[in-house]
Order: sequence, then structure tokens, then C-alpha cells
Amino acid sequence: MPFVVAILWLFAGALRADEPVSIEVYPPAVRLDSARDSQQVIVQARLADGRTVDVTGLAGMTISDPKLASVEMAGDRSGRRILKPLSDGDGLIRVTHAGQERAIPLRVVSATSNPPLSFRLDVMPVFARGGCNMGSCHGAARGKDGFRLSLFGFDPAGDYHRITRELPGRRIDLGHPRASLLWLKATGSVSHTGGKRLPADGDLASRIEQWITAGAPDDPGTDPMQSIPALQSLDLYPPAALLESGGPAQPFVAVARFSDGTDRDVTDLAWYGSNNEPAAKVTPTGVVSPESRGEAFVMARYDTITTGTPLIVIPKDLAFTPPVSDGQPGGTPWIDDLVDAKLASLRITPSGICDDETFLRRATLDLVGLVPTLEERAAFLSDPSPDKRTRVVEQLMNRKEFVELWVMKWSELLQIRSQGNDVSPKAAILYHQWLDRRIAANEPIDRMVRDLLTASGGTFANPASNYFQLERNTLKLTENVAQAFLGMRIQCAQCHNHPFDRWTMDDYYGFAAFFSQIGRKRGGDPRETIVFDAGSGEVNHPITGKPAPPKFLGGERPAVSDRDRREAVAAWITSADNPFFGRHIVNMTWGHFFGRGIVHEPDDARVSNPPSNPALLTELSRRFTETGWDFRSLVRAIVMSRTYQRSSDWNESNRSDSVNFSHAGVRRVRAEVLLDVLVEVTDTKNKFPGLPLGSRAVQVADGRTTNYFLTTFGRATREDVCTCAVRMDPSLSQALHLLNGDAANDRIRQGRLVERRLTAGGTPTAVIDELFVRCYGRMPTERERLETLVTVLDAPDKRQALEDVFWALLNSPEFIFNH
Amino acid sequence: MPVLLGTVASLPARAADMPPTFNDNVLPIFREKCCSCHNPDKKKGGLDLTSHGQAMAGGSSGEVIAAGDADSSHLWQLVSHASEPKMPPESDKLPADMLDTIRRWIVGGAIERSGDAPVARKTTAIALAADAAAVPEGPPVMPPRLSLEVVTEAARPTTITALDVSPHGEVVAVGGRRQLLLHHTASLELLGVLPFPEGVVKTVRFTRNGRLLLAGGGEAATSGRVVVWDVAQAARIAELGEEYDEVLAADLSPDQRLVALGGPARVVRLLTTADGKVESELRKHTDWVTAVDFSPPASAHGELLATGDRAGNLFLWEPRGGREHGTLTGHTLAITAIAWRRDGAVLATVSEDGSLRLWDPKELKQLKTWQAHPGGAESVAWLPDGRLVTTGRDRRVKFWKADGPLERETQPLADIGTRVAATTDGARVFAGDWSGAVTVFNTADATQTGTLDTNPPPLAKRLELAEKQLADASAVGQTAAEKAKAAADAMQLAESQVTAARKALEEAESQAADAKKLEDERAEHVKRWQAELEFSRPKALAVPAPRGP
Repeated sequence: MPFVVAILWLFAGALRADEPVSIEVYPPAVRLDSARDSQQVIVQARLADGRTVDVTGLAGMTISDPKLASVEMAGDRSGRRILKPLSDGDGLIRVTHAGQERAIPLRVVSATSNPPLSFRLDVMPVFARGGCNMGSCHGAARGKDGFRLSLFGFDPAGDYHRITRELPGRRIDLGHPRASLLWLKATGSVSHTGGKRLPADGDLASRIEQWITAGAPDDPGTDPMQSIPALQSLDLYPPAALLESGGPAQPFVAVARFSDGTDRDVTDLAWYGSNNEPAAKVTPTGVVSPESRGEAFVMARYDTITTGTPLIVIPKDLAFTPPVSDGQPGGTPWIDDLVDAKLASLRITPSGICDDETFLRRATLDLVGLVPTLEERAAFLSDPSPDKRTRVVEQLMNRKEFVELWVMKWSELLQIRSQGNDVSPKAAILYHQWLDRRIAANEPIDRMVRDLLTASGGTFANPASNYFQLERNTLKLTENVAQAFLGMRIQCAQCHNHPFDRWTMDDYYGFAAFFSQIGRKRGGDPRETIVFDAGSGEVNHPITGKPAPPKFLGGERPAVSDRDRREAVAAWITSADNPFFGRHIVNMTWGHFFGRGIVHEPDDARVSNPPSNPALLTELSRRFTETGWDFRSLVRAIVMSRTYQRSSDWNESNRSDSVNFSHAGVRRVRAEVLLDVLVEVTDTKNKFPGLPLGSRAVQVADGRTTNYFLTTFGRATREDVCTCAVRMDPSLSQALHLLNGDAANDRIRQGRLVERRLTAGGTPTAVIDELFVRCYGRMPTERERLETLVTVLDAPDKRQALEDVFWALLNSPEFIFNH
Repeated sequence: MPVLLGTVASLPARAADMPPTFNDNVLPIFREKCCSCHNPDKKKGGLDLTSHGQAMAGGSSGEVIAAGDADSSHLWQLVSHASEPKMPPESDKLPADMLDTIRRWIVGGAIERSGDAPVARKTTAIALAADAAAVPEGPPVMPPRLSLEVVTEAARPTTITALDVSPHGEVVAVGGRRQLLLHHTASLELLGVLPFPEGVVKTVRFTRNGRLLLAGGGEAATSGRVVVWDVAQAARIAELGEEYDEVLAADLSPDQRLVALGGPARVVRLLTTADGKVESELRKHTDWVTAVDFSPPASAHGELLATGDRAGNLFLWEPRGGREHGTLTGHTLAITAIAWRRDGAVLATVSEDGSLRLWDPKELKQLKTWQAHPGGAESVAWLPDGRLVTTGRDRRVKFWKADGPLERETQPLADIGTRVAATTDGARVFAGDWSGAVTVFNTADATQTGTLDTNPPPLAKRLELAEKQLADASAVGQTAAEKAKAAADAMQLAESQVTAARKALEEAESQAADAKKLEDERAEHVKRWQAELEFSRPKALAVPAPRGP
């Protein structure tokens, strides 16, 4: 959608900016199917410059047959119109505004019937809207003030019991509905810790009263969920908006759609939130006001579904000319165009392309985890050919260090480490080798993951089976699979439906059922375990107490009898149609090169944490799966894009942007790479247990192997699958370790680089230049060289002074950051 | 694991009629499943299952094995998941064959090794004690003539939260919103309405002599009060309590000096009836106080007050001074009702954990427990002969023998049973339920004999109804009379028509006869004149005769 907005904007120069070029009416069709049904309607105008404005209050609205329904202003002063049924029939709602016209269909059925209220469909939503079942109120695990509701209503049967029968005669009074404690508390008519949640004369309080008057009935049937239509989707309108800061507010309309084809206007029942309140503030009634420049995701939650609308707020009367292409070849157009389109809709001018020195250092760090050597740098700078960046990327990707870097990244996802009696160091190393062979051969990622998830046999014979040894708890394993391969954290749904995502407890336990039949037994070698399909074992759903049938996340229930359930789930995960896997892999890869995923954190994809550029993520995923999950071509496309090659210098328009890749990010070099680079530039060697002298930190196979430096700089322990286990936040101990510890000082002395250069007849100037190139990948500026030289020449001991310079460079941000 | 199971299963392969023994059959199961906690070192819950002696000695909550009676054995209740906490904790139930072995071992006398005699069953103190104090002295206490006007009329009956039968008088009291209804226990007629403007009645108790009636309740989240009436005068004699939420439980001490009350405030307050002042406050409950009950005056241990709360805590107190007498540990969920046996020697409690427990208040020991109502037991009452009646979430009213076995149960109520009370002679039982019905049952055969009108209409409405019925009746009479008249008229008409017809018939018949007569006459005439003519004809015709004159 922002893409379309941008294109419209680009070609609309001839029109006046404030002129509506089209209007849209939401929802796109109205159906009223009982006497108490109603539907709120909004009208959104699109202006010539791409902005959108709510014109519901200004537009004319008539119904082709006035006998069908009435049209009024909604009572909440939101500006919405509300339609109420009068008599059955079909017609059109005609809307006109500023010369634009739109008509949407209207259907009225059962206009005079008033069906009985359903506990689940009519009463439960009131508790959600009133906030009664929030985690801080009665939704807490132990309830509040003696009364508990299930968190966000994940257990309607339990809630029904607690309201009506847990304490007979306390919470509802069948004979005197308005004297029921439930009603009195909710309306604040008696003292209530939560205060007044519903107006006493409002529709919601009246629903509770009517339901009690009817005898507080449960929904019929032994399984009431089967007797009522199931919620299938929640639509939030408008689907997109580009508002001007300080401009008119935008009311939203939410429509819930059910399995029996009916829908309900849940605008007044949904919970609303914004992920960026300073940019777009949303009221509890679903009205958004554009505040300061930025992007926001406005969300509505109803029952188990959360859905959202991306919203852009631009400064008022901003003069903006979109950048014109410099006409230079190169880049990856299908990436760059999508990034640029988004930036144009945000009125952001991206930074220019970085220089060759910056590019070489950045790409070398990102692709092989090292800094360019003096020779590599010289060769690259002197190469006059226009495609030298392409060629150097190709060379870097062919180095073994490229493979080692990605083996390390995957080792974190697979948590490769020795672990007590479960995983011996030998098994961990075999597991690491298994991974290394696959990545080195550029094996399609889908095949690798499929082999991993279905691995059976001994942990020595088939090291991939260690995956099931490293996490033996079924539920934890389930969560790890979802997080590592689908980029989703489903942990919340273990105990209650996920409040900000689509995952319910049914989804969680249905997914866990795929991993409930993994058998483990001792192998011939006591250090080896044999993983096999036990063919039996279930996971019980905690609410029903019955085994949960295997169910793909958000998908179907496959037939799994007579086969390893893991085969079914592995095939589903790695299918090109899987809506999560491909996106997660490309997003994770993207995140490596930009320091931030399109979804951020990369393993926290959820409805309420949308991608900053959905079109880009979709396109990356589509191309990746189409090329047969070829990881190297994905990396090539990303690194060769102009987006990746942008300078980290910002301009006025993109200075505050950190999520749309309008300039290069300045990223701390991760622990292992930083140590390897430190070793490289000081000409020293490292020693890790079990590895030969001179091995690099990136090559360490066992996650348990570490040292003080790596731990201090946030190396992942691999005990947690979360990408957040790689810690990038600065700490005092990092600074002190580099300043005073053995990290910099001892290595400078051990490497004796300065001493060797001086002995070989190098001048202080030449040594200074080399130190700068080694550490920063560039020559010193004139001023840097001069000031440094003066210090060195003044010193009694030249070697000592030059080593101090070296030390200062290693302690500077330019060294420990990739930029 | 399968290997171990095999050994356990193979051992009982002996003569089928031989009961399992502890050493051969049960100990291997305990070793595999229980003894990691219940061993001499850890002794979780004070229980050690590694030897027969220790197992039979029981744990800190008393004996766990009642030889010969599996259902009464605490251990069996827990391993069979009939009671909480389920054992082994956080695990699946033991396999069926293990459970079977344990059960057969207990039923077979819990013997240690083959050849042993069954362990003698301990006799419980709960003998069927005839209740000497069953009938108080003096004539039965009945209320005077009372207004039958209700204070509130509800759109539909509401959940029964308070119900009691007078121990000495034919009165059953049913609490409601702003009123207390008194019905006759035999005729089930409404005897009168006692207004309770303080709010909803949550608890109602007659004193044991039937002379006083106490009601506690109030407005939820607003106020709580207790009121005491003199039944014979129907006069309020005390109004007590200044709670900020409704009173959920209250009782009057046998000497009528104190009222104990409790509710969501988690405090039991003892107020003097004389001036309503708080004499002491019992602050040990960790959740809403849901039940309070004074021991009867006959108790050998002196006066005690039992109190229970929503968390399952159950305490005994010495009311004078408010000193704690002891804690009764066992229930895992809310205590819903407490009832002292009339001799004070046994205390019965029911809980949302579904169990009924009998306690020895002197020794602070549990005497007996069994699952009474799966899902939760709500109310309990003693019958005069020491049997018990309960109701609960399984919608049944159940009658129990003094030591546990179910005697009989009723057909299901309309919804979950909330309150139960028995008449003094124990012949009938009144059970209130969630839907607002009070049903009357015969103790002898658990059959339903009637219902109480728990939502009687106001008098004006009753009069209107009666008038309408009268009008209907007279309208019916009038119609009948009209019908009779119409029928008589019709009959009369018919009769006259018959007469007329008969006359017409006679006339017609006589006319016909006349006509016949005439016809005959005419026929005679014809004949005569034919004869005349014949006669007058010349004979020549017969004998040829000369022509012409």
C-alpha cells in the first residue's frame, strides 16, 4: 500500500494537493442481520499528493431505499455514521464528496428478529472491552479481589462457571439483574478497585443485564464452542492512512467475520493500541490523531485476533522533492525500488553511496568477519573497473571464513554446545561439522532444516539428531522450533491465548503434538544417544485435559497416523508455501547485514510487530524460495543493493530514521568477530581449548567454550535460542577491558608490530599510516596524521608512543563499530 | 521402565483368591512410585511407605490405610485421584494394574506377608448415636400471624443462599433479597415474610431451641449486617455488625451472648448481642470467611467455634477470649459449610474439593473423609440419628450413613444444590438450588414430595389472581347456565316440533283413511253402476234375437 501511495504521489504533480482524487467507504459492504445489529461506516478521501483524510462528517450519505435502514451520526462524537436496520431487503449506500462518488452494497435480513444473547458472542466481549480480563485485573493468574477471569478470555467455559456458579448467589442475581454484583461492580455503582468500567446506561451494561434477565444461560451443547459461529477474521478499516501532523483525526471501524458468514461491528468492543504513540495516538474508541512525524501501526484486538493498519504521519506543509535516480548502473533494483518507494511515502531522502574504503571494510566484516588486509585494500582501491564491488563480494563469499561465519550464526540457532550427560563434547563437534558441511556446500536451506527436524539415529552416526538431545522438554523444543525457524515467540500461548498475536492455546498444544513422540535411548557408546520415533505420546491441552491433535500453526490438522509426526511438520515448515519460514530466513539474513531486520527483533514476528517494509520482505522471501533456497544468491542480492551500500552519513530528512534503511547503520562488531579482528590487526594468535593455536573465535564449535573477552562483549551462550542472546549493548566492563585489560595492551606487545616496523627502518609517519589502515581501513586525515606525529616525536620512546597510538585506535569507536 | 513394570506385574501371579501382601506386591510399587519422597529420610507429609509398620502408622494427617475399606483410605483416595493432592504429584495416574493391586491389598486386609491375619480395622468414633438432645423442651415454637406481603418480587426465582429448618417448630426459613420467607414444614404454605432491608440474606440459622432466628447478609461490596428475631413474637431483638461487604456466614452462641460473623474481609468478628460491640476479632483466615458454627451446648470439650474460609482453612476457637483451639487440616478448596453433630462430639465439614470430612474436635483429628459431590460439596446437615445429608455441584441430595457409605440419593435437582436442611425428626429434607427452587424430599426413600414457592407474588397480585379466578369461575358458571337454557329451549322447541309432526301425521293418516274410504265408496259406486249397466244391457246380445221392434 505505501508503494501505491508513493506512485500516486509521484504522478500527481498536476493536481492541487488538497483535491480529493478518490474516496473510499469502509467497510466495503454492510450486512445487518438482526434488530439489534448496526454498522458504523467511515469515508476516507485520498488527496492528490497521496495524503488521506477522513471526510465521513462532510460526505453525503443516502440509501437507495430509505425503508431498509436508517443513517445517523454515531453517538460517540467520533464522526462515524451508524446504520441501523428498518426492514429486510438489498440496496446501495451512496456516498458523495467533493465531486467523488462511491456506492457500497447494503443487505438487511431479519430486521425485526431479536435472537437470544450468547454468552461467548455477546457477553464475553464486554469483559474484554471493559478491560476486566486484563492481566493487571481479573485476568491475573490468581484473579483480583477474589474474582478471576481468564486472561483476555481464553477459557470461556471457565469464565461462565466463575461468573455464574463459582460462588452461587454472589456475582449474579437471577431475580434482580441490576442488583447483580457483576453489574454493580462493572458500572461502578458499588466500590470497585477497578472503578467504573462501563457506563450504567450504555449498551454494554445493558447486555449484561439482559443476559442475566434471560437466566444467565450458557451457550447450548456439550461443547458450546461448536454451537456458535467461530470468529474467523477481524478487519480494521481504513487499511492504510497517510496523515498530516496536526490534521484531522481518523476514526477506525472494526468488523469481525464469523464462520457462518455473518459479521459484527466490533468497533465499540475492540481494544485499540498504537506502537508509536508520539506519532499516532489512538483513543479507546478507535480514533487516531496524527501527532508528530513517524510511522505507527494501529492495532485492534477482538477476542483472539489482533489486526492492524500501517499509518504514516508526515510533517505539515512539508516541501519535499523525491530524489531522482542518478542513472548509475548497479544495485539490486527489486530491493532498492521497494526501499525507495517506502522512503518516498515517508518523504525521506536516502543517503548517498559510501566510498570504496568504507564499502570494503563493511563488506569484509559482514561477509567474512575480518577487516581487509593492507594488500586487499590496495588491490581494491587501485582496481579501475566499474564492477569491482561485485567481484570483491564474489571473492569474499568464496572464502572459507564466509562459511565459518554462517556456521556460527546457525550454531546459535541450533544451540550447538556440549551439555552434561546429554550431549558430549564429541557429539557437539560432530554436530558442528555436520552443519559446516551443509553450509559449505551451499545446500538449500529448506533441505538442511528438513533433515535436521526429522533426524533420527545416533547422535554420533547422524549428528543432526543432537537437536533433540539439546532440548528434551517437548514444550521448550516446540517453542525453540517456532522461534528459530519461523521467527515467532509462541511462549505466551502455553498458558493463555497470545494477547498480541494470533496464537491460541489450541495452536500451541497442537504444534507441540508434533514433537510429543520423540524417543531417546542410550547408544552403544555411553556418550551417544539414539533418537527415534516412539510412535506414541501425546501432549494434553491444559484446559480440556485431553490430548491435543497435531495442528500446524495457523494451519490444518494433518493426518499423522503411521508416520513420524516430525516428517509432517518439517515438510510443512520448509514448504515454499509456508508463510513464515522463508520470510524468517531472509529477514534474519537481512538483519545480519543491516544490524536490524525488516522485522525487528528478527525472531519476534507477530501481528503487533509488523515488518517495516512488508512488500520488501515478501519479495525477498519469494525470490529466495524461487531460487531453490539458494543462500548465496540471497546474500549477493542484499550486499549488492544500493540500500546496503549507502553511507552512514545522514541528512535532515533521514536523520531520525532507523528502520527504513535510508542510511547505513553504525553497528557494534559482535564479540567473536571483534576478537578475531583484534588478533588480525595486532598480528597475534589466539588459543581456544580443543582448537589449534591461531584458530579464530568464529570457528569455535562448542557453545560452552568461551573466554573473558567473548563473554564481556556479549557472545551468545547458546543456552537460549533467542537472537537477543547475542548482546550488543555497551557495558562498563567492555570499556575497562579494552582500556586496561589484556585485550589491547598485551596483544600490542605480543604482536610487536611497531617494533618490527621500526627495526625494519619504517618512519613514524609510515607506521602511523599503517596503524590507521589496519584499524580503520583508511589512511589518516592530514590533521590526524599531524597531531599523532607531533605526539610521537615529542615522546622520548618512539616505540612506546606508537604503541600508545595503536592502543588509542583500538579503543576508538571507529574500530569497534562497523559503519 | 517397562522392565520394572514386568516384575511388578509378574509377582501377583499367585492363587487368584489370595489377597496381595505388602512385602510381595505392594512394596515394589511403592518403591518404584512413592518412596523417593515417602522414605524414612524425606518423609514427605510425615509419611514413610518403606515398611508395613510405617505405612499403617500413617502420616501427619492421620492414618492413610483403613484395612478392608479402600474408599475410606486416604492413600487410595489420593492415588486413585479421587481426592487432592493427587499422587504421585505432577505425574500421570499409576497404571491400572498397580492401582488394582493396591486396592485389592487394602480390601484384603492390608496384610504384611502371606499367612498374616488381616489388620484389624480401627473402629471409628462415629457410632450411630441416638441424639438425646434431639427434642428441646417445651411446646414447639411457631411465629405469630404474620403479614404475607412480600418486600420484593423477582422476575424469576434467584439462587438459594440461605435455608434452615427450625429444630423445634414446623417452620422452614428461606433467605432472599430484602426478605426472609417462613414456610410451614408440613403444609409448605407461606407462614409469613420477615423484611430484611439490609440486603440479601446469605445465611440463616434457628437456635437449637427454635426460639431465635438469625439472618446475616447485606449488600455486596457495600455493607453487611446480622439480625436476630424472636420467632414467637416475630420481633427483631438484635441488629449487629458494620461490615463493608456482605456477611457470608454467621452464628449465635448457645448462651446467646455472642454472634460470630465473617465475610470477604477475611476476619471473624465476635460481637456481643447485648450492645453489638466487637469483643474479639479472629485474624487468621487467608481468604473470605465462608462458614462459622458454634458447638452445641452439650459439648464435652466446652464451647468451641469452628470457622472456615475460601482457601480451605478450617480453625477451631474458644469463643471466650478468641483463643485458637486448633487447626483442622485436610480440605484443599473452599469450606462451604460446617455442621456440629448435636452432641458436639463430631464436626462435619464440606468443601469445594468435593469431600465431606468428619473431625474429632477434641483430638483435632480427622475421623473420616469421603468424596461426597464431585466438583464440590456445598452444604451438609445432620439427621437426628447421626446420619448426614449433603448437596452439591452434582445436583444431587445424598444421604449418608454415619461412617460414610452412601445410603441413597435423590433424582437430580434443577441445577447445582446450594443448601440443605432437615426437619427435627429427620423425616424430610429441604434442598435449595442455583435456579432458586427449594425441593422437599422424604428421607426414607429420597422421593420428592413437594416444593416451596420461593418467589411468591405480592398480595395485591394474589388478590387480583384470586379475583380473576373467581371471575373465571363465575364466567364459567354463567356460560354453563346459558348453555343449559339454550339446551332446554332447544329441547322444548324440538318437543313442540315432534308434537306438531305427530298431529300432522295423525291428520294425514285420518285423511288417508278418509280418502281410502271415499275411494272404496267410489269404487263401490263404479262397481254398482257397472253392474247396473251390465244388467240393463239387452240380453239379445247373448241370445240372438229378432232385429227391429
